[in-house]
Amino acid sequence: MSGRPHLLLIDDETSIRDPLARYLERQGFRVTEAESAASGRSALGAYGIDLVLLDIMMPGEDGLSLTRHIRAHGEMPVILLTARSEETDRIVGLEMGADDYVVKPFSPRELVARIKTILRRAAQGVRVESGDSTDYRFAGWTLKTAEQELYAADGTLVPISSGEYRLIEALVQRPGQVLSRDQLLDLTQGREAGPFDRAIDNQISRLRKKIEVDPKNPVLIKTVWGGGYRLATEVRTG
Amino acid sequence: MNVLQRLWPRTLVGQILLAAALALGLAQTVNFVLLLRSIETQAIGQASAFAGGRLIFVASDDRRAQRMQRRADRPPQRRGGEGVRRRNSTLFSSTPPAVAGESQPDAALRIMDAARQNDVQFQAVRVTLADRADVPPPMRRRDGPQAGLRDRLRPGAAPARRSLVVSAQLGSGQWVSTASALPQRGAPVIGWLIGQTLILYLAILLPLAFIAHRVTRPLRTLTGRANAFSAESVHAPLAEKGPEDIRNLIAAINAMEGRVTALIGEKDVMLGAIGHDLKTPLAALRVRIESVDDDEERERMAASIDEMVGILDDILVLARLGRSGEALRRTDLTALTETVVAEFVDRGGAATLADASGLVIADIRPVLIRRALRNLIGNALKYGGVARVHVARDRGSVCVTIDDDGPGIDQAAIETMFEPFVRAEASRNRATGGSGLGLTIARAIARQHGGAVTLVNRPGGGLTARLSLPG
Repeated sequence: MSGRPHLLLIDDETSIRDPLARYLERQGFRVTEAESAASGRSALGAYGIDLVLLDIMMPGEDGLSLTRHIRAHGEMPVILLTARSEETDRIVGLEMGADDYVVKPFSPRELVARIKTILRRAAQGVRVESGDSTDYRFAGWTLKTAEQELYAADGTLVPISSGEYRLIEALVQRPGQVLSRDQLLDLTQGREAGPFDRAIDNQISRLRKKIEVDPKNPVLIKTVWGGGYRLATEVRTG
Repeated sequence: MNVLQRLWPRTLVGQILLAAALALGLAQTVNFVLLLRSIETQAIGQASAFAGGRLIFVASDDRRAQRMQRRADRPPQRRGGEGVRRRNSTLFSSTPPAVAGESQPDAALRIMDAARQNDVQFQAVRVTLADRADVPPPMRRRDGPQAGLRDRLRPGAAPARRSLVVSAQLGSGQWVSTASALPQRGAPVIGWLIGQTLILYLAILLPLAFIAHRVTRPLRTLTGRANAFSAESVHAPLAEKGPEDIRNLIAAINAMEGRVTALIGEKDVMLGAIGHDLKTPLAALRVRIESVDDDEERERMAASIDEMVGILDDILVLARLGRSGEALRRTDLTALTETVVAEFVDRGGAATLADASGLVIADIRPVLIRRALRNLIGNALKYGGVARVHVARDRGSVCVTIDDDGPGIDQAAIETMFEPFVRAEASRNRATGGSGLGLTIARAIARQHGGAVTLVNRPGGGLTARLSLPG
């Protein structure tokens, strides 16, 4: 990826597509617009696209079906745009292989942040087994990636926030590896830490409360002297 | 009155059976009276035939004796004159014996007829039904062989209490009288009649109960069905069974259920369309305001748009609550509450979660419960400044309590707080934002779980909101 990243924006609503395309262009992206899944497909063949922004609800072929097509043909990142915030849509979307989703109306700034995170991850090649809903198991816990849910050994759902999810996901993908606060911020939020940034430490302590037997003496998420955290347990996938 | 009300059957089956039992009882009473009267008539007939026969015999005997005397040219021999012929327990007298009782002219006529057939002429016959105690002793001494005979045949039978006194005037003008005991009425007949009534009741009420039960079973099914009716669970139509009226009713209810389900479905489709159609222009607006250069102005616009979206979501959630489609899942309620509290803390809210004692796990719909908790904690922060949250297990239920330090709510107004679009501030101004649906949604979600949301003013000040769920 060099120069301006090339985004393909597929949405049948002109009233959203046009201003969003202009906004993204101002943010330094090159944007190709398509008003339907069909024209999106041909644009995919015609240009070297770096990331697809895809509306789910469209007349004709819908966004989910196009996501499946894209995933079947490669690793191109997909962010779904949806008007429905219902859980099932999200899960289906992520199961189809979408990398992320935003609910309309969304903040364009947040969308840009997510686009940058995903592009950076794609560039680093950390995109993990795209499309498959990989589950991670560690110390009796199960992290389901499609649902973004954490389950205890007896099958009890232990609700976590999306920030906590991204944090534990980053940790289980790199068991044993020491991750600095900056790395974790970058991996989970796509931004750099400020001088007094406590966001990661807060989320770690919240996670510990939920998964450690004794949060004061953590055995799963260990603090490493010199600034960082490490998942001190084996992780199995599948 | 109270007892009557308590005994009055409330069910259709009960009322049908009661009506049938009352009608049967009435019919049996009429039957009983008629039967008693015919038994009485029959008994009087028998007794008068017996007594009449005896008088006829005495009279013809008397006539023969007179004829023989006349042939022998002997002066008529007065045999006792006024007195008793012991053998026949008959009493001769110049006037009929005065016995108080009920005169029986029909029986008297029958005796006259019988006498005529036996060539005996009575000038007059009187038949009186009297208490046996009133009958002159000479007649009572043996007032009919059946008394003694019956005692021997049926030792347990009650002694006769009534007698039929029959007096006949002979050709000579003399009266001859005799008495005949009547069998004690009633007793065996009543027993027989009660038996008959019981058999009738069994024969009629049992099949009736069966039929009524068969008729009302579909009614009970319908009642259960109507109670359980909800748009979220679609059942197959009820089978049309039972009598035709009931089948028609079931068909009508099936059709109505279909219409209601269709209406609710339409409502959901419409609300979904409204939600989608409103969110699209809002999304467009949200993108366009990024071109506003004034940061403060842009933030305000974004906040307004977010608020509109929030209200829209609230309305959609409330409208579709019944068919959210979310399944019950075993969930760590403490972790869920912790997550919601953290959301508010990250936005600068003064929310705290007390350390829970032990795991609090319940079968809930986590997405909905998260929304309910968000509404309750949000209210505490909005109106009470702080939210001290506590999760606990309490005898078969789990509960989350949220204490704030606000002014509380006027006790009389607490219940109205749960009504849609009601806000704590009287002016109903929208300064504090929100849809006014927060508590309504929280309570609806709790109730959907079989739980409750309550608001209580604490004695020391502040309000406590409590979400309790079965667990």
